[in-house]
Amino acid sequence: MGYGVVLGSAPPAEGWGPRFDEEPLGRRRTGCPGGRRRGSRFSMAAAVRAAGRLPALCGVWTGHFWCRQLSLNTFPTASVLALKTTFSNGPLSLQGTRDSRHFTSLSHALQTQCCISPPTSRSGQQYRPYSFFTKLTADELWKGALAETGAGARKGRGKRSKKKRRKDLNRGQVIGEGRYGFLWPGLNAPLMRNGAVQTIAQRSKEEQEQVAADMLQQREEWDRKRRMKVKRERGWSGNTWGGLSLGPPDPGPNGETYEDFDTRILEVRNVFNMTAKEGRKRSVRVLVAVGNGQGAAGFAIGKATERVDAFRKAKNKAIHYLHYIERYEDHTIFHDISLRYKRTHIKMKKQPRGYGLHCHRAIITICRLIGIKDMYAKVSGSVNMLNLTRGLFHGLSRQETHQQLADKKGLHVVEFREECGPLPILVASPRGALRKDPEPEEEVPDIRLDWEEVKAAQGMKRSIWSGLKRAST
Amino acid sequence: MATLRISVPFGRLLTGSRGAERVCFRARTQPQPDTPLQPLPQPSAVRLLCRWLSSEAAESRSSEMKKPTFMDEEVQSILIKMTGLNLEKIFKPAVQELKPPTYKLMTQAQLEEATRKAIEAAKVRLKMPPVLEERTPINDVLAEDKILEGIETAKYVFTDISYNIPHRERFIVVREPSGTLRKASWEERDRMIQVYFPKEGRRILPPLIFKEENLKTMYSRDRHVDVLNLCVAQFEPDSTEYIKVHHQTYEDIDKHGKYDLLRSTRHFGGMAWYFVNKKKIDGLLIDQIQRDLLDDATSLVQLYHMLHPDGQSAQEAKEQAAEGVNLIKVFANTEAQKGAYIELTLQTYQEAFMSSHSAAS
Repeated sequence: MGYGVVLGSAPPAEGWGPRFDEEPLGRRRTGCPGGRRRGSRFSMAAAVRAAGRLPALCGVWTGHFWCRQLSLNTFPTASVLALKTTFSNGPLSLQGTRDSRHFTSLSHALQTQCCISPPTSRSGQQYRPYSFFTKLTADELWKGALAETGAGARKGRGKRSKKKRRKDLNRGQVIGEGRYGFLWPGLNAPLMRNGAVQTIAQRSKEEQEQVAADMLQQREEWDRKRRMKVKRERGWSGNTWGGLSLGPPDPGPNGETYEDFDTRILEVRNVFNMTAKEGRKRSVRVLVAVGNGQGAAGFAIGKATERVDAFRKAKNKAIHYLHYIERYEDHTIFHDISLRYKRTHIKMKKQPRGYGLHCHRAIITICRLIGIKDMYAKVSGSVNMLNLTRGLFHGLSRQETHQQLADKKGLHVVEFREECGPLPILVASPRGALRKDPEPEEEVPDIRLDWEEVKAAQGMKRSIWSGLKRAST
Repeated sequence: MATLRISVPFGRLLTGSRGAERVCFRARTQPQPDTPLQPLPQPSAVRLLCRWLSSEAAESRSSEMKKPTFMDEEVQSILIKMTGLNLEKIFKPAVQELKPPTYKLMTQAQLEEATRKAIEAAKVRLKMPPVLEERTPINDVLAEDKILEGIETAKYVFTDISYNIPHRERFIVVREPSGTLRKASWEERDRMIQVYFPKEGRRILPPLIFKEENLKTMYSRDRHVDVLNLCVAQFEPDSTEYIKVHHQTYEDIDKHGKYDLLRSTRHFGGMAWYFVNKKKIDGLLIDQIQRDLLDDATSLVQLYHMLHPDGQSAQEAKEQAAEGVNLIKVFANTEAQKGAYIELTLQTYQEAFMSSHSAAS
């Protein structure tokens, strides 16, 4: 078995030697678009260039028998490289029969120095040291196999299940490891031991089997890890992107970091635009909110062809559109707010500590980012996410704090709590003049009543969902 | 039978109708005033009138009249003054279903009016629960019917559940299996009355929190106020358990010096009364001086002199006609157990006072 002679496709690890993928060995670029026919010619230019990268390896081998036999300039170096590739597979086989004239002297050398066994056919599996696959780089081969570009990939015709993943076949490859288990000092065995340079040795059969089994197991483990599906964090529900966190926004150009800000996605939508050239052009539109939990929050939408880019654009745009929202005692709003923004009606009520956020899931997310912990909100009419967010921020920014109310009216703002009995708690005093005349209070307050609230108060509401208790937030 | 000295506000505290058996009109008359700071408005005519009213049991009453009771106005005024009026603590948020607060816009006058109403409500909350002597057990047998012996296996309790009888006058009798018909004991009476006329906050059987180890746990968590409130709700003021739990709580407070826990609650008066009777006011005095409550300290010493006029410190104070800090010093010198500690605390306070005065001036 072997991984054939596909030339290196991954960045070499320590001691792998030079990269071979940029320069195809011996391939003459014929320029015909169709099929590629390979001759058995080696282009000297390519070979010399490849040879330029040899020194690392040969430097290792100085002082050893190879240099006695070979000299770089007089020998077609390509054949050395070809030989090297065959090393990874084991048998120091004779290339001989087909391209004999290039290899005869080398094979002589090999025969004199090493024990060579002719290639044994491994149960059914083909082994060709020189084939179509050796003539192309890994990138080119994968490009052909994956078929990422093509008519099928355009216009959204690609099926999700037909997508193949590229695999690095040279992972775990150690130059020197082969089927016959030779230990090459400097390659897969230490060069020096107790100050003396070691000789070429061979592992015993059992050891070699063990090593092969280890390698196989390692490869299987890699495959398993690759196939393992990483579970995506669950937002508001199984397949939505709403409620998911994107982490803090990226640092700004002047070095400012936004580590204490958290971003949450509110909506991901695929929108389409008709263009002249391609027709329906897909684009992803993302609505995102950022906040630091201390009252500073903002939202923005980002649009891009790819989802990831859209997330990034939205995140970095949102941090530039922050609102500061005043909170009462850092846990709720100052007073009840009912507003209509375009066709979205939002009614927010102030709640005491420990009540939680009994609101629309988007409002819960935004309130968590702002730092509001207890509130009731009812959304009626349109539930368009963008209008909902805009209306919410509009309403929350225009709250009237107790101090502002006191200044406006010129009276003390006094709080009465049920649990504290008749005790008056002075919350805000006017900074300017204090009025002497009291606020006129009618018996019937002049406020607009809400029919839904009246129904609920009178017990006329027949909905099964009213008064439902859910897990606290 | 112990006479119950009951006054009207006390009757309002306990929802069960407790008819006053005997309302004794007591006017504080004393042969000599021993608290020069509070001259008693006692015209001689009133004194004569009182003497005429109580002419029958003169000797018993004269010895009692010298000793002030818990419900005397003077004593009550002193105790109320010492309790303090910390509105935030009195109207601490109760553990209940929360509702969002309401806001009102008020002028200064309205705010003061609201504060005044709150203070009045606070004063109602600070009404002290009564301090009574322990009730004598009932051992009255009404009939002995040997003919009924061995017929029944359980006791039978007969309760009169007519609605318009005060609970103290109800007839509750027990027929034993041995045939005796006897009046129910105080514990049985309380249980039966709770069964037929349940009172809110009271359980039929005393809750487990009144066991020793549970009480200790409560004390270790500084929840003396909760213990005392539960005790007032559960037991009658003259029952053994009530007095025992109260005394135990007071002892624990004294041991650890946690007097401030009861300040601004309705139990402070009872605690001060207990300490004064037991002559253990040192810890409380030191705590008051340390919190710069000199007036309270002086009034505590005055109360002590009122209750123990024959003591050494009372005599000396009368001789010296001491006032304020000197009164405390006299007490510290004579009858206090931790006299040196009191003097040391007084000194520290005075130094701090002088330094703050000089800093201000």
